[in-house]
Amino acid sequence: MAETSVSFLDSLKADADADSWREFVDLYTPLIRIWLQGQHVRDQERDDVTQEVISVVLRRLPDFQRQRTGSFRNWLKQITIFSWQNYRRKNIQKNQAVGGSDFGQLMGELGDPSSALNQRWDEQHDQYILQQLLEKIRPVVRPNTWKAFRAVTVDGESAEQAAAQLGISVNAVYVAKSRVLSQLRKLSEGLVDWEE
Amino acid sequence: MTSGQNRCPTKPELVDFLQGRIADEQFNALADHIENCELCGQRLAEAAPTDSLVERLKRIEYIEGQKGPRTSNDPFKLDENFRYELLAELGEGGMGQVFKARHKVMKRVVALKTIRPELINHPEAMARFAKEARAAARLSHPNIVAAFDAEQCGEMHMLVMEYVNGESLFQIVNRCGPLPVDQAIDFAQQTALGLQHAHERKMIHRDIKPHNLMVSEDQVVKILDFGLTKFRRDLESGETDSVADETILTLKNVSMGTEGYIAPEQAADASSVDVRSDIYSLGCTLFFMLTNRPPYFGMPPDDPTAMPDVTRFRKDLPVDLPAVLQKMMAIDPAERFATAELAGQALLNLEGQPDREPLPDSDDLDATTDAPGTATNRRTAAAESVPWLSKAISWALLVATLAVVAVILWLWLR
Repeated sequence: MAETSVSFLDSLKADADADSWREFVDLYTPLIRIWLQGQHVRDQERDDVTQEVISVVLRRLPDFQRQRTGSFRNWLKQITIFSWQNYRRKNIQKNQAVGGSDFGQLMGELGDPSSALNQRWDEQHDQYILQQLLEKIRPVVRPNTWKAFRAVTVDGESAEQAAAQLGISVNAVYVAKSRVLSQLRKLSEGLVDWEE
Repeated sequence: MTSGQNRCPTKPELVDFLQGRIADEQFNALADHIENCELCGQRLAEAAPTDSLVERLKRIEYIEGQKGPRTSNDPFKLDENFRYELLAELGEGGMGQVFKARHKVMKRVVALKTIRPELINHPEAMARFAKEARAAARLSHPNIVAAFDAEQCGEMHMLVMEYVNGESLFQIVNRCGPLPVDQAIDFAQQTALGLQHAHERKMIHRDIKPHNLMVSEDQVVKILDFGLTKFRRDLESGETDSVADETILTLKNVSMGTEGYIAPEQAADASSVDVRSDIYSLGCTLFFMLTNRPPYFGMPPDDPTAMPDVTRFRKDLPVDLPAVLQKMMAIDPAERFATAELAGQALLNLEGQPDREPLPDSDDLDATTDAPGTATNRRTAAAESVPWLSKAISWALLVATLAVVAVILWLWLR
């Protein structure tokens, strides 16, 4: 098995093809919707803001790639907050906004990295992105490799337990774990601060 | 032994390996070595570096097979007291997602069939769901998927059902093509047994089709979704006015997929079903198992003589099978078997019957295989699904032999 994996972000360099971009939009659109949905916004507002976030991200991604300060997750969060505030500003002028003062408080919480809301967004992001990346890797590795990896990571079992269950050597479990982990590490590079 | 490197990796290399930081091009050589080196095995266990990515993985709730996002009303995240842990997503139906799950204490593995919250957001709908769930729980038969319990978690209602490790008949036939005749009859007959049990308890399934019949690893047919169909159809027909029009539309779209199997009287008026509607659908399912196609694409015709003739698609059938099938699938309910038991009995009687037309070259097959189990050629699945293949091989052999003879003759005469 020759795996030459590149990170998800690196696949979006300037010369990226339409498929890479579509994959990117498909991956992130649901996440932004989940973030907003958790705040009980109207469907219309949720969809408009989501669309705006995606278009800003696509426009500014080259800048982010060049500078690379902080994780993509934090950058995306900033853009979402910014786009949402923008949306509210425009719609207050049109007298359509709901819950104006609550919104100010919400923005305050999102601006504070230690707030519960901020942490929940991070949590939802990591949960969702890791789930999706794992699902991308699962079909391209052998079933037993996958089972061994899964046992000693997400399921939290020891290498010995996994080896006994699968009828393979403990060494083989370590190799399987390393094989999948290295793909996941490459794919997810830059998206989340694992080393925080 | 293999292409692995000979020297053991250094400690930093081992740590990189455990954390998945080895370059692609070096990975396989290193992996080959580590897999076969006892010493490295011990050193790996001792190295055990902390890894923030692995720690993160241990904290996420990974669900194998789940593609889409998990929304905020995901029931299993909200409630830590929920008695089940999810193992995998089995699929998405018209009413919600289906999960494989394990009871946290009893460790029993079950299927959780969730109902989308918007379908039961009204007391009346909830009462109806509970009623159907109770009715389904009263059924207890080896050929019916057991419903153990109704659960609620957050806004989400779900049925806790027996988990069947197997495939649906639809999947099996799609994968393998038409089934051996004996097997198709056996599956239909098992289904009839399950139906009879339910019918005696005043439960009609209303949606018998290959997708709803699971076959377990030990070849036992299990009927899925008793009760749910009634509940779904109630929603469709608007008896529960709390459901948004949009949702009804989706449900209708879902049930359109079963057109090939729905009884004509049921298609005309959903409230006019009786046990014979299930028998009709079972007949259509048997037709599908034998031919890999539903009898009708769309609604059945009004004209009873337009019924498809199974012998057009399949020759190697027991003498009386077409008549039994025709009786199950009669357009007029009065002409069908009156009970599933009678239909099952008729199917049972077909066993061991001689074929209308034996398979081509079946004698040759029996003579060469020389196995005692192949008393009837119907039991040989490979020849069964591809009768044209054995014919083609015979022709190819004949042509080849003639060619060889011709060459020898030509050489000899020259």
